[in-house]
Amino acid sequence: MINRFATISRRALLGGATALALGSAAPPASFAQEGDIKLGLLIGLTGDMGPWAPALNNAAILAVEEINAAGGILGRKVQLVTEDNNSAVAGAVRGATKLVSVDAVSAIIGPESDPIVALRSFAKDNKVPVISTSAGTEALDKAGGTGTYIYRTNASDSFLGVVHAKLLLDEMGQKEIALVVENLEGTMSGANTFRKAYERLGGKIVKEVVLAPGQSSYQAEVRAVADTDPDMVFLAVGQTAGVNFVKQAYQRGYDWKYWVTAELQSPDFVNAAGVEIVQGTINPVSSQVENAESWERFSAAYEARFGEKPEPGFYQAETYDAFIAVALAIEAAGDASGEAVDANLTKVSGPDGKKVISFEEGREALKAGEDIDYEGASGSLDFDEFGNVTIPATRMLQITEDGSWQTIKVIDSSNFPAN
Amino acid sequence: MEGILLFAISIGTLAAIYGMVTLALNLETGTGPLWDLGIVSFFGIGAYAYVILTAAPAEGHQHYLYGFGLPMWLGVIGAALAGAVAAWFIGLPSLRLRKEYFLIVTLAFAEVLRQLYINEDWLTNGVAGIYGLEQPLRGLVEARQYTYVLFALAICGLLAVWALTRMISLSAFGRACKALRENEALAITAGIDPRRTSMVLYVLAGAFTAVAGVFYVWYNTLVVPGQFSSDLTFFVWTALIIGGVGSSRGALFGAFIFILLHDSLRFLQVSGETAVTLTSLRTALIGLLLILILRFRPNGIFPETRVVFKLPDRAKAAEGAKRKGLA
Amino acid sequence: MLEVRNVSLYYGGICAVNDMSLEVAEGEIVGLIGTNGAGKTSLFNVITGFARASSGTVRFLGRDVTGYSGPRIAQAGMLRTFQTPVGFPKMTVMENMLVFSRADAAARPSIFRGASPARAVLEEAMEFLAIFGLAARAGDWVQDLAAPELKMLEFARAMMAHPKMLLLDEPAAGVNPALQGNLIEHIGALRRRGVTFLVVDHNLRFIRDICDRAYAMADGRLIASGPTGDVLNNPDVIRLYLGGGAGEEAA
Repeated sequence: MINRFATISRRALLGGATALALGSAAPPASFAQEGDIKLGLLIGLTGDMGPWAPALNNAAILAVEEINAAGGILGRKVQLVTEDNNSAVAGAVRGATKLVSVDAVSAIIGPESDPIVALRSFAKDNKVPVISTSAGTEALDKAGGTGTYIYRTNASDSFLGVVHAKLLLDEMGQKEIALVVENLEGTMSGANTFRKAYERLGGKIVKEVVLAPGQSSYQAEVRAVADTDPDMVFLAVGQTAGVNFVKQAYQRGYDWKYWVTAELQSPDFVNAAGVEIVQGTINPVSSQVENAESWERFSAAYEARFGEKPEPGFYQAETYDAFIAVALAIEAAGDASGEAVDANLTKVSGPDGKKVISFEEGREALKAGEDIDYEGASGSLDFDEFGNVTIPATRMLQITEDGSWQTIKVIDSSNFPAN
Repeated sequence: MEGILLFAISIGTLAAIYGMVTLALNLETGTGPLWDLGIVSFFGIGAYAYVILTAAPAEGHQHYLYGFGLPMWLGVIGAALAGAVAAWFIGLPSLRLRKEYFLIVTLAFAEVLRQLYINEDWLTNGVAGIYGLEQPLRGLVEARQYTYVLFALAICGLLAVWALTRMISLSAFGRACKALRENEALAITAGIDPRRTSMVLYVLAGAFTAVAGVFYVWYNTLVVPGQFSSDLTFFVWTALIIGGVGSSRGALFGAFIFILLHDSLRFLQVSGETAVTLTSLRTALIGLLLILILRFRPNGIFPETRVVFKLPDRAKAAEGAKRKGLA
Repeated sequence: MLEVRNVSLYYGGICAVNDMSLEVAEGEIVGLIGTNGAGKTSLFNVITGFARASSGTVRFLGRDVTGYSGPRIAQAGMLRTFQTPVGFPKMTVMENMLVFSRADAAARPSIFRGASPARAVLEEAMEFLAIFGLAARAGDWVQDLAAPELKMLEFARAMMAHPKMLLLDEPAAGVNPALQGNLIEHIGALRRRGVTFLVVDHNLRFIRDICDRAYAMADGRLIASGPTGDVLNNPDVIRLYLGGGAGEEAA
């Protein structure tokens, strides 16, 4: 549920620049040899998702390089084909058609919410698995799984809604809250799932206010919230609107506590709004359990390769995991066809079997005739019957006095209901 | 080889859909006097009207109230009507304005409509959109071959729009539109009512564009408000300007060449690593090419050509004039 | 045929036409003279529906046409020309003719008809073009025509509509003397075919050569009227033109 229109974080831009520099400096790879296995990455290199895409591409590069360094899949070299989907539906259809028809990829990884929804029948018709690594849309809650060719390695907005609701009720004891939501796809979807879960679990939304994107004044909305005199406000808004809203509320003398979604979890939000205003603000991020080996391993490899750490909320780990899981599925099947991947993806990801955290480890286990459970950098990566995963843990981040986001608690969310 | 053909067919389908819109825009702007910067309005109206008429009722997590589940052909007719009615509504206030203002107002209307798609959740399912929509003649062939069917349908649609817009622009009505485009005051002295004529033209363009919107739904199998931003208007305008304003051949060519330009560069990719660099270069490359085209073909690749009639013999005409005592 | 009664036209606070009346009988050629800014073109605009009179009435063929729109007046049989004849530049000469034809007017309500005009219409258009020396250019774009050809096209085009009355706005402007003679002949020929004229021009010799009667305007109001010779010899008119320093050669 990352808000696509949110102000781009400085780090994202830096990441993009690094990727560009590396991309152009790298020697031209040789053309695909007959027998290479191709994996497609279909993301919004241009358009709204443009700022986020280089990070995903990096994660894909890292995965493919690791696989090749380990000798490839089934002894064949793996080739990454990255395609642009213009962050749009029509672009996704074209890009996917190219990946399948021209490149004959074994799987398509990466499409965001709208694009993957548009590719549902395409995936099945062409027998090519399409795996999103960032789509929060509820449309996929019951749509995927073995046989449908649709998967995602990130958590659904519905699940995040449950996480928000459970944490507010159980950890914070917050039975009432005012909900402020910006009218954007990501934020609306996040707010809707939260409302549903919160009310079902016994919470009460005392007021719901919708912010129109792109306004400079939200005075009327601030007043509407103030009428109910809440002590905590849930903000599901993008950066620009978020900064405006909290500043204007502060100027009118309201000292609300804020609970925010991933859109606002960045240093930029703190800097733009001012520490004195947003200090104490809490955001839960989905994460691997603390000190998980798979995460540490991925994070170190990523940093070594690209000179920066992967960002929580950037879906790099989810993208990396999708590639490794597909590679293992091919290895398990002994066949690089889309059908083989679809049939084995859920199997190699667990939850039963020997736990493995890298391609090489998984391949060796498979060769030894064992069942495996790939433990991803992003989480346990256990696909359920609908091709969805749950998030093992949630990290509660809070803005401290010095303006940094600090982890105040890590909560085990693996047993939370899926939606 | 078959793979490349399939891909070409797929982008050809999209080009055909854009071609329909470009032809409709050419009818308004090339033949007629209307500088329409809001053509995406009708594209969106057509798509949404079709979806609301034909979609199945909403599932649990969706919010739209109406999905009438009507047959597709009714949806197409409904979409054309909706496009026509929308054009009429937008035309009522905006066609009173001068060219430059018409441009601004149509652009604004397009944005207003997009906001409506976003905010009128009960009708459009808001930003989440409506998805999983059916495609026509789906059961006829094996799933993988369906690309060809949709392409054939889109080409038929394109041919129909091409034939109709061409017939219209060559007719007496079309001449009146051209006259308005060229010299409104003089056209008035020929008994041409600018507002009425423009309205008819605008409504026609609205209906054609709306039908193109239905094809777009078939192509994407979903509707979301983000599909109907003014990017599409500018895309179509650029295609028309490259192809040649006022020439239906130019409009067609422009739509196809512009899409092909975008997508043929996908083949330049060498490795995943260079993809990010190449993609940003792609946009620059297309820009450069457009500049070059307009530098050497300022009126487009196929500029407007003269309408040729089989003219009567000159000498005979002179004689006839003399006989009537006119010369 | 045309009867203008007490017409005034205000643009904001400025009075462009002040209580003007004039009459044109069938078959007449009537001149309307005056210096720049006298209100001639404004009066033309009122008569032809391009401007709405602030007060007064216009009657044409016995009908009150005050407040009629431009197209309606044109359909009633009154055609006007403009000071700068540009035609429809990016349409062929023949298309320019067809737009004014009755056949086109009749076919217009159907959006598909008229793609291939009837032989008779094309022949008629060709005849008119031959008369005005444009037959060879029928297939050319109007933007490629020379200025004198554009002038001729104005007349040829007007003929296609079979107007009852033609209002000419400075037909002799920018026309060399040799061609002026030509123009006078054509106007005469059209008159014999039953066309009535109201002509605005600066060129007093041209007005004297073709007009039966004339009206003179200054500052939006009528200062003289009567047979052309009388009007041109009217002391007020002479003062007006000599004051302007233009004399008879004013163009």
